[in-house]
Amino acid sequence: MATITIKFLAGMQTIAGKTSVEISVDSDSQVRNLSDHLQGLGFDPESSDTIVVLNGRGLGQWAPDRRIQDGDELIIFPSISGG
Amino acid sequence: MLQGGYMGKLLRINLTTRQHVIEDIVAKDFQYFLGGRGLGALWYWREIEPNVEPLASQNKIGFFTGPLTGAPLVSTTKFQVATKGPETGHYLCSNSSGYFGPRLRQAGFDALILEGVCEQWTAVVVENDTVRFIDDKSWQGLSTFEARKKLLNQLPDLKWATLCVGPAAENGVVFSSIFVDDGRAFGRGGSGAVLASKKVKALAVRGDNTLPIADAEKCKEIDKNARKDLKISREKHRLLGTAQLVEIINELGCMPTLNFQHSWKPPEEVQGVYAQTLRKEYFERNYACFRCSVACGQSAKVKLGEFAGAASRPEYESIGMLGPLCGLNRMDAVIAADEVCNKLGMDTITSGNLLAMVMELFEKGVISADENEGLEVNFGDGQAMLQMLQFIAERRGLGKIIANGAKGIIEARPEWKAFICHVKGLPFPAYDPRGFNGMGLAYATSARGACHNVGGYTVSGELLSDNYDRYALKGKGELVKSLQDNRAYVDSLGICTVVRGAYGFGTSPPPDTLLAVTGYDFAPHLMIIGERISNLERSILLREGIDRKDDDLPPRMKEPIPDGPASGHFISDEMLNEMLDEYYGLRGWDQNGKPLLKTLERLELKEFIS
Ligand code: SF4
Repeated sequence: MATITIKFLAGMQTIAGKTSVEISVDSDSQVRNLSDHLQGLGFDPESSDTIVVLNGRGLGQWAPDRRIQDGDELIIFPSISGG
Repeated sequence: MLQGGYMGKLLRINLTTRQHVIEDIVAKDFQYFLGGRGLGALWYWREIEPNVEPLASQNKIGFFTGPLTGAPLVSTTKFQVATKGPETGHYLCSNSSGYFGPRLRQAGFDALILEGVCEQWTAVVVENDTVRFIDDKSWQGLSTFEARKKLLNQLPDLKWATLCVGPAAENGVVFSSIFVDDGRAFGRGGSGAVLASKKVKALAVRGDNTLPIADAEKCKEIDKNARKDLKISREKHRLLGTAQLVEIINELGCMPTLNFQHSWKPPEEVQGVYAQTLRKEYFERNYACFRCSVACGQSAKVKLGEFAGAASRPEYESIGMLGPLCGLNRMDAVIAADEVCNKLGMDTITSGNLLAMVMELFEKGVISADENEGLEVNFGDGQAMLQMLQFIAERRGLGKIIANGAKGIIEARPEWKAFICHVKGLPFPAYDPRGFNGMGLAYATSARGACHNVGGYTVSGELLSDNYDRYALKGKGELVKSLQDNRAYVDSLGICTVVRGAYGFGTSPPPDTLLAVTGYDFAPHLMIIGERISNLERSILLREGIDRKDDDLPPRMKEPIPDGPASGHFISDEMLNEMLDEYYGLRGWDQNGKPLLKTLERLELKEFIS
């Protein structure tokens, strides 16, 4: 098993009801499986209103077959630009 | 062919002679440049000589609406200003929301030009096709809020929209803004100082005309659908506003901190300026612009403590630059500083940058309180910051130098160059480009100096692209070009960028909205119009002596970020050059950043600028 942290930033905290959560995933889990975990938490990573970042880079920028590692960190936040 | 969306008229007021004329705008100018920023750039090319000094009487200032400004659709609020800007000494475009644009159209005009200079301080009142002046020595010295109040008190109780400048503009502070109505502004570049150089303290406008609309029934349907579509955006923006970005950008390791010496601080240090803190402790109500259902503005007030009574509507950029950049992680002090900037009429982004520079100079012992009327300004000192803002507006102490902006400071004190992050004289907004290389290219090539709007907001694109990540160089030229051209046409429409998605105004816009408003199918041409505007603006800059040498980033960007998620990243000259080469190539510009003849011909721009 690998333990990863998901941080909910800004407006996403309202939806999640918390600032972060730690989840355990099978040790053979890959990046492509993360979408299911996020959907399970009520987020649609495909939505244009949502941005998901894994270890500082966009989720879609990792190879889908990259193995999830213990300590990986996901952050999820609304797509928004400054005023 | 154009059945609606335009009044077809420009009002030109000569402040020296006090005469005004109403001129026709030819349909071809609309078809090729749309309105707003595009029309402003075309006017600038035609009327502002390259050697005109920004604060000289020969400079002119123009306000431009787009085909959607004031149209019966949600959030049709935007309008643009164009002038030679004193902060960069070059072409300046700036956009604002508010009621002024829509009311200008009701008065019967797509554009308003002010030229010449008044003999004494005045307010200009435009009501339909009449123009009058309220001369009064006592305009001088009033804050933006006081000027608006005084002006409205002298006008019949009708639906007026106003523009006002504050004491900073009167004193020629080169980053003074124009305050629009009671809560929006032409923030960047110093358009306030241009207005004040003409001794115009304020303007009011109203009218009884109706904007012609090609298909009013279709407009109703589009409006209904857009409002439905905006439900998500409304929820997203209403609750926490753009202030949400403080947490997001800090977590991404790109939050300008302590004058760009850092780009991140632990969340427990920064959370004092998070959107959640704003909402929980200071929020009063949401604020909406003309016909907007999103109401993203967050009116906030400090109730307790040393800044009690301060009130403002802080946006992300203001929070970032007056907050973490100045080592200030207290929302009450940020609200107070934001309010002082608004009252004095100064751009919060430049103000934050130059305050942070002063703070670092104190920190490093480069300057002392003796040079600043005894006032020491250290990182995190909110009270000193408020006093320093006042000093700048009054040109007291170090304010005498700071009021001249980045370029003026470097001219007077070249040894301070390393402490200012700017491009072409315009200081950076609240994203450290070392964590998003595309932002670096956007700042370097933006037509008005370092800007995340005109230059392009690349952050989302750099996280969502399948082809590159935020630290890659290849692909950033294409991203920035596309964002800039997209933004150029959106800025020319008269619609708020927050809501543009509800109308589909991206890179492949649908025809319905502009067809319903104007009767003309602009959609297939919009990205080309955006590209044409980008090339026209570049041609203006070249005429004013700007070229590749000026598409540069400041020395601090070449140093690695010391800590946080983007630790170790930097943008060297070689990296910037690689991005510039790709960008120039895609734009059809030569190695020096000049549009090739075939590019001007492809964009049918040559006939307008030869
Ligand atoms: S979304 Fe915000 S900035 Fe845009 S029109 Fe509405 S209130 Fe104004």
